[in-house]
Amino acid sequence: MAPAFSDADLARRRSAARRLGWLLGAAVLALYLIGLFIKR
Amino acid sequence: MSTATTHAAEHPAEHYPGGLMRWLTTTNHKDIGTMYLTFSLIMFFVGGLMILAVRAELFQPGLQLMRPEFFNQLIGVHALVMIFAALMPAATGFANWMLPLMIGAPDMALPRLNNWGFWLLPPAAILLTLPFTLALFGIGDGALATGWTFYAPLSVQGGMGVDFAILAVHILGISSIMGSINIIVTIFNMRAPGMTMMKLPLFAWGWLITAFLLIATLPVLAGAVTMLLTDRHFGTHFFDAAGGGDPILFQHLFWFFGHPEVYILLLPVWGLMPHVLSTFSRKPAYGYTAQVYSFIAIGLLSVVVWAHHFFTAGMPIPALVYFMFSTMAISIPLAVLFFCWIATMWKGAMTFETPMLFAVGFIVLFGIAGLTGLILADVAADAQYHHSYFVVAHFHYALFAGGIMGVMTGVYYWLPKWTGHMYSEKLGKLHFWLTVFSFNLTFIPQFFLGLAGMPRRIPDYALQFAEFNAISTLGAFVLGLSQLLFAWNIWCCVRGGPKVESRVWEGAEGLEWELSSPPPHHSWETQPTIK
Amino acid sequence: MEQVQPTSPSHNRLIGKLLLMVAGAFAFAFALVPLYNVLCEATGFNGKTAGPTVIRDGFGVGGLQTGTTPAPKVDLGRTVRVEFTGTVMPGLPWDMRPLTISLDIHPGELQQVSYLVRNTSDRPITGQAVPSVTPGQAAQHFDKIECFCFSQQTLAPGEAREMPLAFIVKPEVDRSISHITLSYAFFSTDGQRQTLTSSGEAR
Repeated sequence: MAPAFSDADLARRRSAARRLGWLLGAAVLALYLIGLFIKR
Repeated sequence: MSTATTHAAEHPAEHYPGGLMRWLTTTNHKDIGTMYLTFSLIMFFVGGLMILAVRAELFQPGLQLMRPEFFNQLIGVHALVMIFAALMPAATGFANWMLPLMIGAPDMALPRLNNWGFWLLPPAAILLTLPFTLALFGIGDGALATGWTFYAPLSVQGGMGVDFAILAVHILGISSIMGSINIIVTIFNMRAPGMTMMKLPLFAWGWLITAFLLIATLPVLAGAVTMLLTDRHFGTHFFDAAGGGDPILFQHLFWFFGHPEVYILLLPVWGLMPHVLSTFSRKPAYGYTAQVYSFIAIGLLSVVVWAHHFFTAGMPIPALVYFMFSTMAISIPLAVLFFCWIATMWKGAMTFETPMLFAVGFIVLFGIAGLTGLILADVAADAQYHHSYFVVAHFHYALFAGGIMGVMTGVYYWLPKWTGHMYSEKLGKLHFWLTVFSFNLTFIPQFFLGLAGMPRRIPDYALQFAEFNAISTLGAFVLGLSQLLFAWNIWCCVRGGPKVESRVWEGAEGLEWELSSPPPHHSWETQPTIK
Repeated sequence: MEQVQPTSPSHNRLIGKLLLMVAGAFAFAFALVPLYNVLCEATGFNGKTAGPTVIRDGFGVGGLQTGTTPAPKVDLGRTVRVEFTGTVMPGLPWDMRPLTISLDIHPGELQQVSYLVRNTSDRPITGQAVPSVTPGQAAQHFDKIECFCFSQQTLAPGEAREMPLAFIVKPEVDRSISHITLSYAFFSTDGQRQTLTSSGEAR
């Protein structure tokens, strides 16, 4: 397949993957911390 | 690059029979791989039709479409078809097609055994489903009606469908053992010079562990169903309490095979995932060594946890505690795999072609399978959830989202390599989104049904379960219909389409991408050398 | 520079080893049968009760006079509820019900209850009862002194019979166990092996 993605595009995707990773990590950590305060 | 000559190179003008004889007599790993995959796709639809009939019956409370006996036959044969005739042949098809290409071998080590291994499958599938047809002509009372687990004493008392299924399982087992021996010998003896075990592609590692698990556990299932057969016809009392036998013994024997079977179905997919993720993240797979040792750890653990499938059958508390903790221990190497997959994508230049969509969908949905599995592994919680729809939903997240969607990942990833044509990305993406949406529509309601206490394997249910069952049936039909897109896309891709280069995907690494697409009839006539 | 042959000696050696593994796994399945029985006898796993205590403890049939070994000490400090149930398996036209549904006992006490069993058919039939104790951990401490399950029972057409059962729950039973269920499954012996009871397996 012909390279459909330019270097700039790939660089943008790299930083987007990093940002999304941190975001998801923060969300999971937040869920975990909230869970510590839920009492049944 | 130094070269090694192979036997294939010595016969440049070999003659191949055409037509049906080509397929009956072929010993070429690519032909056999294609036959495995085609067989798998056909049986996927056969098993799917069975379960759509079941879901149609469950659309509303009450009995509308079928007798309970027929319902029981459908659910059991659906499971056997999907496990033994759809998922396992698909994985074996992948192995046949890709292992020689990936490790730089000219073919599988035992080509003739390979041919026998495949041609055992269609007779077995016919044996499994024949009782349905026979019953139409008034012979016998239909197929196996015990569920796929064959639990004694029900299976000892069952009709001739049980005998057909026992025979089918024997043949399927022999076929799988042949395939496993072939794969192990190929991986051990046929690697390209310089490819050490720790340079082996992860897909090969996943299959190696699978093959050893098959060899260690399938004979136990064969033994168990043999005992069942002699109990039924030759007056033994292995599982007959009246004769001093024990029905619970059957459960131990069955699940000694049955639990590793889950990993047999999943390990090839886990091996494939890092390849796809690394290709579309344009980064090497993260944690190769960690993944290899996780495969081995899961393989070893899987044979010592079986009794968690029947916590409620009555066990001493120390045994319950042991099986609970050993089961939960599997989540540790499995979590290592999950983190390796995520870390492979981390900071990667990700693009979302169809295989990548399926791979990411696999990680999310298979994660749900793992987490709900931990709930079921808890002895105290299992007492409530056992044999409920919660279990059904859980193992469909494992085997559909984990197994089938993993296989679809591989099909989209390698299809251009196999055919030399690009499939339709548009249809592929549509197939993915329809599949994910309707899969969740089918099985999320089943979690709630299970929590509310709906038992599995019953053709009727209380009124309170009506809404969720209706939604689930709706989802199942969308799910079933959207698989037609998959078949259509494959069909079109086989027939034609835009030509692809040897390195189909921009970021793909590995020996298989060095060969042309489609690869020559004899791949790697001169073995490559790995530095 | 190595010739790759389809069936090289190294292939055959490896195939031999793998076939040996297959045979080993197949044999292992059959080895599990006796292993499992040994495990059940030893641990009471799965509710298999110990055999008749008659000979071992020196009780006579009926269990009313003490033999050479003294009766176990009665633990008056706690009670255990024993519940009785029973089923008749398909192929045996009998009715069965316990005359005592449940009984509160002190561990170590000798107790006697009975089941009413009736032949609802018009022909004489022989049946064999197979006991099971739940929870499994209690099974090895549940001693049956006399039981209709020790031998085959033959009922004339329409005959109803009270079948007695004398038992002791040994004081060694775990303190966490407060309920024990004793269940019988009556099987037809027609077409079954004659060794059913003499083999000592069906206790």
